[in-house]
Amino acid sequence: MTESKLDLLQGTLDLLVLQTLYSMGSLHGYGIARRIEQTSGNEILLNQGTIYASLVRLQQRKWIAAKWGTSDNNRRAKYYSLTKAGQKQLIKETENWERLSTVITRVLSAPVEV
Amino acid sequence: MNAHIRELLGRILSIFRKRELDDDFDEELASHIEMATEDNIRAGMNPQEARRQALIRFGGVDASRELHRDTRGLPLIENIIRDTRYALRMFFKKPGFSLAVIITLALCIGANSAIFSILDTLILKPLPFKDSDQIVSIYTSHGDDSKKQPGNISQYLNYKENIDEFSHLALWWPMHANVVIGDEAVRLNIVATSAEIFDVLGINPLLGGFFTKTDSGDVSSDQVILTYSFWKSYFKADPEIIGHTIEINGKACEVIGVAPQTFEVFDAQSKIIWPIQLAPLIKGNMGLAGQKFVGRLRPGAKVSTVTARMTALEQQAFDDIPPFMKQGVDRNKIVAGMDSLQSSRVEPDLRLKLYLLEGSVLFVLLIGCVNVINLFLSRANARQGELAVRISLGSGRKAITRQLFVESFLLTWTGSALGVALAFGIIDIINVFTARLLPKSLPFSIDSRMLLFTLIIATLTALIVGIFQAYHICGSNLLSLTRNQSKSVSNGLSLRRLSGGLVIAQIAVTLILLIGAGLLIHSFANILGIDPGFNPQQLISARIELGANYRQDSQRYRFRELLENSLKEIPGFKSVTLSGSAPYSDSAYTAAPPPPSGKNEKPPVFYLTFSADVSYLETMQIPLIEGRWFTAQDSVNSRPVCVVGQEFIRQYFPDENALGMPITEFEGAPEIIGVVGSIRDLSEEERLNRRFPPIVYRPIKQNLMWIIIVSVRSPRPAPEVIALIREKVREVDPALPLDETGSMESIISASLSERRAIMMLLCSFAGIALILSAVGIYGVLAYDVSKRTHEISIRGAIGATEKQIISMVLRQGLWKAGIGLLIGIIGAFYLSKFMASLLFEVKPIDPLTFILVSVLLLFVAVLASYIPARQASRVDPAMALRAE
Repeated sequence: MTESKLDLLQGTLDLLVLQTLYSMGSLHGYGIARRIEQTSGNEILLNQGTIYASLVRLQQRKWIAAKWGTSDNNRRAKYYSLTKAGQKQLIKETENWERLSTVITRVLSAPVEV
Repeated sequence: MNAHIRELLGRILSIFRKRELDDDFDEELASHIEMATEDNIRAGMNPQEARRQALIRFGGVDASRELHRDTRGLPLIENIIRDTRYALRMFFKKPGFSLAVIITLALCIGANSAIFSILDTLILKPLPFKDSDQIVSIYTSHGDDSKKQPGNISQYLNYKENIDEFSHLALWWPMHANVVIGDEAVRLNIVATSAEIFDVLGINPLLGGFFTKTDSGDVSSDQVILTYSFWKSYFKADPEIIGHTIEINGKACEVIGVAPQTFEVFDAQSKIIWPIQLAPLIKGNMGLAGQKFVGRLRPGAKVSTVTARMTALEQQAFDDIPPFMKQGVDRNKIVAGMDSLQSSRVEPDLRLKLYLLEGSVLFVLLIGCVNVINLFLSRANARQGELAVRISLGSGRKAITRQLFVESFLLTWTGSALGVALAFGIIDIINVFTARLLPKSLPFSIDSRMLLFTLIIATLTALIVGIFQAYHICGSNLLSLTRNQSKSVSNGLSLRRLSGGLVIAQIAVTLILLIGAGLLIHSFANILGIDPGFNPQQLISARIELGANYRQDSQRYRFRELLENSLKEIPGFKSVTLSGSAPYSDSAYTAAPPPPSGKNEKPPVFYLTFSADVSYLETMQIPLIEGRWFTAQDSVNSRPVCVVGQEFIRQYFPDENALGMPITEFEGAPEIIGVVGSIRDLSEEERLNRRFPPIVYRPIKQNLMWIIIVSVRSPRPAPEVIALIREKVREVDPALPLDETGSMESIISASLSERRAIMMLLCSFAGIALILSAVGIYGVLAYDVSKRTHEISIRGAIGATEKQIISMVLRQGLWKAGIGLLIGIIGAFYLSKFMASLLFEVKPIDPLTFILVSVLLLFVAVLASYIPARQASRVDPAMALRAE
């Protein structure tokens, strides 16, 4: 891991997990972690272990559901999938994120007054 | 919002599935690493490297387990549960320590909870009536420091007529009555009251109805209402009771209703409620002993305006009373006022006693806390090794402090739970033996307020104990301990100073309590030591009140004569007297102006009138000082005469020879024919804190009242004598019950029961305090000695004798006791004056009590110090030095 990789903002990991499950359907923890790394072009710094805290939290909020199943190469793994409530939450949080990033960009790109 | 609640729920649930969830996560984790390893192998790594890389990318298996657990559950609570488990293990390892703490706290907190529940029921808790703060008790008072007198009939009529701010006003006059139910005659507490009382209290009948007024204003006197308790105990809660007939003072009355239980918060004594008949009372201008005058203010009425109106009315009314009653009273100082019913329920005197008791139990709790703190501190010191190891293994100060608090909470709460159980027992005892002390309420019980109080007290105790411990442990340099195990002398010193200071405080507080108890004991001894003026041994008495069938004088004479003759025949009755009053019969006072002597006008003398027969003096064994006693010749038709007690002479004719003088203020102006010794009376001692009342004796044949008190001097046992008297009374009139029966000694003893109850409670608190501080001194010194074994053995080795070592340790104990005593004496000096009104012929600063109590405490301190001192002297220098 190099210095140049991005540190995740508090709470954004949950959003990424929700989005990943939305686009990939049912997936296990390792798969989610890999997918986030790949789609971010390996830009995001992620201790894969931290993904599980996020998964527990989302599960307790009933935004995702979990079930033990079998992977492609016949390995037992726990599969997570988005629930209805999770889909709604994803839409809400995506909107929030977009608003937040627009605002922050606007503030940062404001011309310097001398 | 919903999601957060769901999350919290999930976190709570996961605490109970810890093992299962841990296993589940471990499996998931393993599968993650496997998949990552396989991917890495596919990417061309060798298996070892592939697994290593997978673990690196995962980023710390233990850390992620920890994170998973913290996210999943409630970390703080789980930590506390773990600490609790740990604490429990420690307690079972050292049961002696835990038991000492728990028992100490159970005693202290139990006593506190019990006394609090009394205080709460009587003083603090709002009354269970609708808008109970609008209910007031009305009084008048003459002058600045005079007692509050309850209102009377004319006041009642006056205010009803002239003051609009009261929505309801009611008179309340408790009395005794001869009641016949079926064919059983009993003497009962009943109350005569105006119908408005139920409106004043705002209560509804439980069964039937309340009094309704007739057109003439008065309620017809043949209706009664039963109180809930009486209905339940006597009639077994018979739902068909309405319409039954009860005979009260010879008059048949119909039961029209049953009052709800809340009514008994207002008056717990009366069993039957009877409508008051004002007309005859107004005509006879009778005083009502023990009456109350209560009212309900209209919403929004201002107390200050109402009292001003009342005071003005009172001052006007003062102009109409007989001139001699005006002496010593300043018209302009007459004040009418009102107290909330809540505060008027408890007389200031009793209030003071309750606060005194509550204060003392809080002191006991303080002393108990000191012991518990000292126990914890000495254990904390012994545990420094363990704690140092935990710190060096990575436990933070926060974790250690949390652990200490969990321990102190666990023990105090266990102790408090036991304390509540104990309070049950204490309250039971209080209910039994203080029935006289606290006559104005329902029995005390444990309620949520008391439990809340206990919880607060327990939590405060736990916090104090925890803070002391944490301060001590975290204040010391624990890391230095890991290097140099436990022998740090300087660290021991700060602890010794702290516990030494606590022991001094403990002794001071104990001394204050002991002095309080000592003063009460001294007062009690003074009361017991008074010569009653008559001989109470083998004297048995019973009271009869003649009912409505004895309106004619001749009927009463006849009854008296029949009874006297039949009683005198009984063998073993050495002497029998049938008089109108007797010592300790709670007689009412009359006021008379003394004859003017010189130019000074003296205040009226309040005296008792006793109607006595020929054999009274002989039966009571009262000495005749001068003149003669009554003979059979002093009867209705002869010249009116009287005999007076010495105390009457002292107050009424201080300077003259009283014999042969007439008392002109009495009807018939009876002549004084004799002087007898003074005798004690209940009301005099308890209410006025004086020894003897002034008494005037009249021959019973010239002054036969409705009350006959039979006194018998007999060596036979009291129950036997009373049964015989009852049988003889029944033979003459089966409708007459006996009342206030018993041996004179038991009556005197009962009259002291309130004083005794307070004394016993305070003494037992002081006793607990004494034991606790003895344990405190012992604990601190014993701990000290155990820590100083090394030093003591060196002293022994270089030639200190056993005596020198003993005296060294003793000196330490006594030094602390001495300072504690000094502080305690100063404290008692200031605090004991609050007890002045509870004392009888004892000054609050009573040298005898102060000295005796100090000596007792010092003696206990020596005893408690001697045991560790002796242990110290037994230290074998060779053994101790080798053990180093």
